[in-house]
Amino acid sequence: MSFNFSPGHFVPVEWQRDGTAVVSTLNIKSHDLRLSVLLHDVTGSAAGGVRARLAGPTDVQGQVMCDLDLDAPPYIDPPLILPGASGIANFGVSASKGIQVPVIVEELHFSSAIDQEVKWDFSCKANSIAGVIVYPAL
Amino acid sequence: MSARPATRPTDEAIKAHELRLARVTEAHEAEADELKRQLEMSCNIAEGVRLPLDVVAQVRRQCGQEILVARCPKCKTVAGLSGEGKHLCRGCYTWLRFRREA
Repeated sequence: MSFNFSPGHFVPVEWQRDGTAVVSTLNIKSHDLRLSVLLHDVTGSAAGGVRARLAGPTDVQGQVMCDLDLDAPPYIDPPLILPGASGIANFGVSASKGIQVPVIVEELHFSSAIDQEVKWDFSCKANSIAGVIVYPAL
Repeated sequence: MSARPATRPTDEAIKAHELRLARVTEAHEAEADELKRQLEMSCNIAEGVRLPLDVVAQVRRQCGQEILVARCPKCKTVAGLSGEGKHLCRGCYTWLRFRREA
């Protein structure tokens, strides 16, 4: 049994916008990555009364939450994270390893409230035009 | 007291008995051999499934890192790894071993 766990406070998200070589390490508060597949239902009379499913295309949904640093806002280049922008997001799983996913930014969101710092976040979805999904090697 | 047979079995009876025993032993041995063969075959199949398939991966650069990209030879799903190593294909669940292209 191994105990190779990672504390979250050192785990970054990196962003490389499509068409540029610049990789920005985002000063994030938290992130959330969901890898999924579309499931095709192939249940038939031979399925023995149990639902049969086939894996369809892989999909990705991600969200990255940050505090707003006015010296490094998301709308300047780099990182230029704007709705519609494609790129590679490297969602960290440890301080040095991450899962790279090609994505398109769906929503950029800013929020502010009394007794709270100004925050921003963006959500993204898979876009295979921007690259390939890369898992850390075993 | 149990009664003992009055006469000894004949030589033919002894031979027939030995022959019967030999046939039974032979049948058991054949059955054991077949079982062993089948077990070895299933082990080989299981091992064949578990052993990763070697694939030559293209070296690319993405997000500031060198990555290896390869297509699964069975189902053509494209996958990337951050370096040489094992990868379970998400398309057909075959273990692949990514090798850097020469």
